[in-house]
Amino acid sequence: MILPLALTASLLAQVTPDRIRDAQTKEPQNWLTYNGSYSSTHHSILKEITPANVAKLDLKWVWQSNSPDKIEAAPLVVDGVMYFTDPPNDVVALDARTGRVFWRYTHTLPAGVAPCCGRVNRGLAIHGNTLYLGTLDARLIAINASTGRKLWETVVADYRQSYSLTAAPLVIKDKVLIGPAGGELGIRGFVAAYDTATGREVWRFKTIPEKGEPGHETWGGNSWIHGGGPIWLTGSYDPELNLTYWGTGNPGPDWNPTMRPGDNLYTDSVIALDPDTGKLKWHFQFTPNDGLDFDAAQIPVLADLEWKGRSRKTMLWGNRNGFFYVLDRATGEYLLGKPFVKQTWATGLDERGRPMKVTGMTPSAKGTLIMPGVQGGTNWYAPSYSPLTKLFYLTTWDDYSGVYYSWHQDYEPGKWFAGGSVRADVPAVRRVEPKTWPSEAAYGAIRALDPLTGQRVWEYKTTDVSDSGLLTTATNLLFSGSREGHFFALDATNGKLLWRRYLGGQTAATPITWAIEGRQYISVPSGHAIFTFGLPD
Amino acid sequence: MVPLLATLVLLAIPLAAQHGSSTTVNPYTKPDDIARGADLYLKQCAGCHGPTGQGTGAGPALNSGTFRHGGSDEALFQTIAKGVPGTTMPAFALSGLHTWQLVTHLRQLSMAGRTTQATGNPTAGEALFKSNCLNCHSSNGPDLTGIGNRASLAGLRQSILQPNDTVPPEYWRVQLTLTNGQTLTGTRLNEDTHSIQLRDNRNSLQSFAKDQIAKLDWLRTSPMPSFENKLTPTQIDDLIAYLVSTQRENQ
Repeated sequence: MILPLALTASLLAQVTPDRIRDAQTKEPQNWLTYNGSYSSTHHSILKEITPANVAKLDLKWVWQSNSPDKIEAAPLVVDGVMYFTDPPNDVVALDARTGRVFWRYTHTLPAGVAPCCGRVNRGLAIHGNTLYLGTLDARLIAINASTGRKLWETVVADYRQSYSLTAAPLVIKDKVLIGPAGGELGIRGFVAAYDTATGREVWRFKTIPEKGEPGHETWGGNSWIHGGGPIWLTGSYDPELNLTYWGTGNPGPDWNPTMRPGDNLYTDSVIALDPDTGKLKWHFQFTPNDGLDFDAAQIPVLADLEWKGRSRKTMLWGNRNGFFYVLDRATGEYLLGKPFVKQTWATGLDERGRPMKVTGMTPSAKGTLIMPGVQGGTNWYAPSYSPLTKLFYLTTWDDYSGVYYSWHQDYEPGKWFAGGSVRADVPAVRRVEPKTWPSEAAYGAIRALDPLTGQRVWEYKTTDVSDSGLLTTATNLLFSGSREGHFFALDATNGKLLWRRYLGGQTAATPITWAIEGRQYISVPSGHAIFTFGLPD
Repeated sequence: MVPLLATLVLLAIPLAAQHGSSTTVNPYTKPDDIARGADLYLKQCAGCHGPTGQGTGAGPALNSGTFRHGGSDEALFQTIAKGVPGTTMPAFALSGLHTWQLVTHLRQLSMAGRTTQATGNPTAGEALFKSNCLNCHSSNGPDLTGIGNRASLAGLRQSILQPNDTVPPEYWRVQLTLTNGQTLTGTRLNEDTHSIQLRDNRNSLQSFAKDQIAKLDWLRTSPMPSFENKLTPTQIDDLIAYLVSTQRENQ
């Protein structure tokens, strides 16, 4: 049986910046960046799979990994070829239609790499015919998408000082951007931009201002030196405003805020940078002087809304601290903020969006019970915005608390620098089978919020919490995986369950959708495999 | 950071100090080592395993006296030095000395708080255990092997006299009424959004879809009876003395 489509898969990728810019509207059959499009709405305009036929979805193929590490990557799909990272730092190119491997790139890591929460990688970027990979030993590697051969590599930071790269890079015009992980290990964060052709560093924006820079005064004493502020999740980009947006991580030491008095800029913030120069245009801090590890490492979702009678360029943000925010993405102006889960650390937000903290809701030597627990009301998993339903969807953890401990900690190179710990009944990042912990210890819920008011429109509850991102489509389907192992589709208008399959593994990534010759597919990692579904032939 | 080669050399020295036994024994157990191990633990381990080894959501408890990847001195050493692949437990590139001192501290975690000694007769207690307890505790009830490492004297007494006071969630029982009217009771083994798994009162494994269930009630009482009126105070002391004596050192 000769497959007439074999030729399509062998063309060179040739992903130009214009193609990435128009990805959502002009190339719904491809998934060209980690977030699918620069606006990061995780919304596809593909229409073949609908609420009426979703229950007929067939399993088309499975790709299985030999790695024991968690899959957190979103694959790229470019003209019939799927590219993703096999954790931690191998790269695989597959025929998207059959799941057969074209090539594998292997990266050997040295001993002593220091990721906090698993040897993970969230995926690749592509420009022209070149893929970009960030590694746990803090290198940026350029790989030929046809041959799987390394073109160049550049050292982004020193892994022996506990810097690592776990985020998928982001290509903007002729540059590829990435930031480091290491907020529990005393690093100082940044966004760095490299020339896509040569790997030469073009600019670097540091998240902790240095002496003489505005914001440096928000760090008492010398606490800025190991202040944290990692950037471990891929940001977004508005081509019209020419601004790129990144969420920054926690200040260090995580659970001892008394060691670093002050607001600790620009940790737990969103920063808007000029992608050509790296200059900061505006920032908004969600959690000043954070003692609860509430990284703002979430995906900035860019949506144009009818805000109080006029069209407004906004940014929608479900924050780890338990509050949902709407900001003006041109200026950073705070427009709205409302809790979306139970939280006890703040009475609310003031008129500028600054949290009004509750006295005593801070880590202590004996332990303080605070809601939400350390993984937050939501975390790095992708939310979605649908311009059809005009709803913002996110994966939430509710009824979730942690007992937060604090102690004094001195920085030592290469060692954990968190000044405390947090205890919870719910496992923090990994699926544990069987589920024997109490029913009261947190539940998961996919929630649909009206961004104009922050009100909840519907929710779909799950017994266990979830680390899965969300995907919506133009036929009003919402797809999600889960920690429990179910992969399912909901009606995006009302949250009703339409279809599910038990895949048996944790989904700690986002489902994606793509197409070949008008046939739509959904791919999702579960456990140590990637599953691809489509309608019957 | 200690260079890898130096680490290997330091690892080799204590591991070579064997005297005819098949596993290596921790050579660093003096008070100085205990203090240094406590300091290292707080800096390196407490973030995930909790300040008293009680566990957090990020790392399991280390204070129970039993260790998932082996509880001998050598097994603990290797787990720290090599990590556990597929989990968030990394390899720690510490010197051999510091790794042994951490092992010394881990032993302290499970013994912490043991200041009083049991007063009863452990031999008499063993006979009582076999006739009153072994039947359940070798099947449905919690495994009590090595309970001496992880329970206090007061805790043991409370479990025997008032077993309903603290029932761990993995022993909760659930009472189901199905949509067909049938009812059953069992120990909840596992649960997710769409189904629940249990072991019923006859030890059969059962799984139900949640849409088959009309009513689901949690019984947080223990299936264990109270022995307050079944054993004399002397017998209870003997039983406790026996249980405490079942500490395991290397397993």
